Amino acid sequence: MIGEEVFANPLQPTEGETAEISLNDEDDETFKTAQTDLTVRGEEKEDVSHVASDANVTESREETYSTIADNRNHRTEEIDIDMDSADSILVDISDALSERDKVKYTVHTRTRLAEMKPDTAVVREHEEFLWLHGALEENEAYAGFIIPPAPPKPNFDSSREKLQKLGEGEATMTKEEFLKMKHDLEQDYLAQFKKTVAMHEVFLQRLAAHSVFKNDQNFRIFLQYEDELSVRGKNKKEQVESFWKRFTQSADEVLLSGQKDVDDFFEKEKNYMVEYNIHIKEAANKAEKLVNARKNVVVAFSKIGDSFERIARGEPNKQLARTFAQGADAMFKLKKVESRSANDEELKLSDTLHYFARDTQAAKDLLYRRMRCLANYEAANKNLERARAKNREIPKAEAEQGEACKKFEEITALAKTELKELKTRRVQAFKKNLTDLAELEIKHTKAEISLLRDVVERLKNTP
Amino acid sequence: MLSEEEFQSNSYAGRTGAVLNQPNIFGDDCDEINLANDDTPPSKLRLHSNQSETEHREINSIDDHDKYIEPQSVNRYAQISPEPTPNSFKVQVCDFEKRGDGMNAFIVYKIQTTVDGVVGYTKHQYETWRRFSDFLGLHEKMVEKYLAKGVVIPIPPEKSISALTKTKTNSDPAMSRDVGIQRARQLERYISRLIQHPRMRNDCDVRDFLTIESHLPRSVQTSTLSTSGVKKIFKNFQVVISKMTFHMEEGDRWFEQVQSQVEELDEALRKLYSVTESLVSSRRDMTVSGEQLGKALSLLAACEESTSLSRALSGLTDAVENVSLIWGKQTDIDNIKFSEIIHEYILLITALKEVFAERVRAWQQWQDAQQSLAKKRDQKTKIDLSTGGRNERSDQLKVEIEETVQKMDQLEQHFGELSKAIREEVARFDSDRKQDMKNMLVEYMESMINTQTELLQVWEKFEPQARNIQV
Repeated sequence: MIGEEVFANPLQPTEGETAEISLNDEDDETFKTAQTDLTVRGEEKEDVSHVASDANVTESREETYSTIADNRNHRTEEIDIDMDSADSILVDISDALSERDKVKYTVHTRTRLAEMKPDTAVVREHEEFLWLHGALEENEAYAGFIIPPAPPKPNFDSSREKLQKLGEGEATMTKEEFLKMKHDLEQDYLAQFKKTVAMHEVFLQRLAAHSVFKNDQNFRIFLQYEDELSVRGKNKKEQVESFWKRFTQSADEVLLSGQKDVDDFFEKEKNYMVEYNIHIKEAANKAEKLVNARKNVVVAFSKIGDSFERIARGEPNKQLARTFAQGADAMFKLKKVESRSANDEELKLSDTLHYFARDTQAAKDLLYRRMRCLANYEAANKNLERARAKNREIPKAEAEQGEACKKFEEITALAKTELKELKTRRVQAFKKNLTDLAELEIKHTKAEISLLRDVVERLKNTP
Repeated sequence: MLSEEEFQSNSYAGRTGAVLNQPNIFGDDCDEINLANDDTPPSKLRLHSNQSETEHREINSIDDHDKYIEPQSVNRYAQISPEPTPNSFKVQVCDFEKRGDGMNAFIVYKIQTTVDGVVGYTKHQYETWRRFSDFLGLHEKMVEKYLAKGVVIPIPPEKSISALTKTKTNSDPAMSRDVGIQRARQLERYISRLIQHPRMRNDCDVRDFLTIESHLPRSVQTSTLSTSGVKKIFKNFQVVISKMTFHMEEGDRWFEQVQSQVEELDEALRKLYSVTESLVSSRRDMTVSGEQLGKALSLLAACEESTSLSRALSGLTDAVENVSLIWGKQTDIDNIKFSEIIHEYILLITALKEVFAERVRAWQQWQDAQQSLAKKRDQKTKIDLSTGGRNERSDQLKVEIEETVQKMDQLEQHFGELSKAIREEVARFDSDRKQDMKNMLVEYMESMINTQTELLQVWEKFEPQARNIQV
């Protein structure tokens, strides 16, 4: 059923795709309908840096945007899909539309596979992604795989809340301040939005790049079934059920944790994954907090700039006014550098940690499934013994035992490679992201130093 | 004048720097009780310094004791007297101690004065211990003496109930140290601002405050809860009422303009101050989260299987911890070199507004005198008409009118002088402000250059570690 090539790493960290994003953010448009056009052009592999210089780049787009756009190429993990191969599936989210409380993703698929339509686009919602993930997880045939974790739920509440507050505070602000804050918030929102889209896209691409999952029936349906999949959200009963399932699983985990593993590798791996998951989650949360605090500093810089500007306007002394204007200018520039630095820190550090927190969770789930299998196998053994003792239904028990044994062995073999795989992937991704982090921090810090030197120089030269 | 400005800016720069660079002084022993100073016999020293004071008064032509000197002196108002610029005059509040126990506990601050070339100071260095209420007492005296002369009197830090309870009840030394350090800094700013002013620099009370080693007579008006405190609140209330009911017709375009500018600046600075406070608190968050991240990463590094990745992660732990330390330092700088300076200026503007209010009061008095004169003249005319001018009452009124005219002239002159003095004070304020703000910006930006340079070193150290991860 499962060939050897399954274990080849489908996630080569090579530059695979280039992205081009055009943003429809007309000034007046509230970004509730913000649209992102994301087109993957797999053919133009070399041209990575064209994003900023692309003709489609609208003028209103600021550098922060292009940083974010570039970042699409700097994902935590690169997923390589070979377009030339005949059986590849190319998936991307070509468009996403944010409505009041949900986001609609347009999933765009191209393939040369005979059994699939060559070019399709369907609209999917977050719940449908969850459904797909759930379907894969429940499929026993995939029990030995680390199933790519489902994308996190889009969360725009904070941005929306801020926007609402902004609306309330409109009366107390000058028009420029209001517009500036609105603009900042919109950028914030857009960044958040793009990240969400990217995470959903990565999930699909990981599946598409996987030699087994890409042939999954549900995946195919998800990609190409034109109508709504009737899975829009879980109803109450299902929610309770899934909660119950989660609960029994953790109870089961506790029960099974007492069980001694025959295989030292897995015994070690199990303890390791549990511990690792705890620490990486903790680190991810702290990193996120750090980034948020840093973003607040950026906001403070921007406001200080506004205050300086205001003082400069009201200042009768021309020289002092110029000093303040320079101060304001410095603050705005600082804000830009710091905000870029904060975004990169988020992308390279906090997101990487979050990404692998989710992946280790998936690995933990895999280990659980294997333990369940082991328990089943042992139960089958007992049954067989009992059957033999009673001398009844021996062939049936033997068949069951054989089945359970085979399943367990399969899962064990597969899980071993998958876990090793995960480790390689993790080390690779960490290497890339930490190196990037260091480089970017150095770059931004240098930029900030030269900027500050310049400011000090100019301030000193002002009479 | 230029050299004076230079001196001011220098002392200013040195001062904030001095507080920053002296973390050791507020070291472990700050709560220790120093008995040696408590025991110095006060009477002798007091006597001695009084003598030296009188000795010097003959040498000084400057009117230290305005109260006792005849009001003819033109120098009465805040005009800058043509005296030699001091070579150096620097005050540091460099230490503090908690004395007494329980409800009687209080904190004394050690004031170090380095002085050269200021009349009235015989030594080059002085060291005194003063408690917070002494500062407030000094402020009261300054207000009494100089407010009517249009001098912008710096405002000492507020007596806060929370600081009070912390001092009285506190058992946690770290908390009271934080309060103490911050207050010491504020007090230093206050005193430095005070001695920047050419008039108050030579004031006898300031000199006593800085030079007499024994206790000053305790000020009765400054305790938080006292009858005089209540009276003060009542008086303030009256002032507010009279401000509301009384409107001055501003005849002076210049004043009108300056007052509206000051109002605007006040509002803008208050806004700026709240933003700088949020900057400081965000930075503090960053420091705290950074520390926590460092801890979490070190645990992660400890359990990471791949040795090279584990090594890189512990490298990252070091980097994050160092970064967090650097941000911590920057947080203090944000607070001391930026936020607190803005706050000081908000206080100074309040002081400036008080001077404007004083001018309004002077004008009001003058107007009152004018009205009463008019009334009396009216009365006299009536009496003269009815009696033909030969009347005791009429003569009496004549005398009264003359008195009132004299008083009115005095008040008018006072108002004129005060206005003139205020103009000069505003000019001084503006020139100080120009210098201070520029220095603040330059120093703040320079501090950030330092911070970023340190950060750069941290990341440059980490980069090869990240590259060294073996896949």
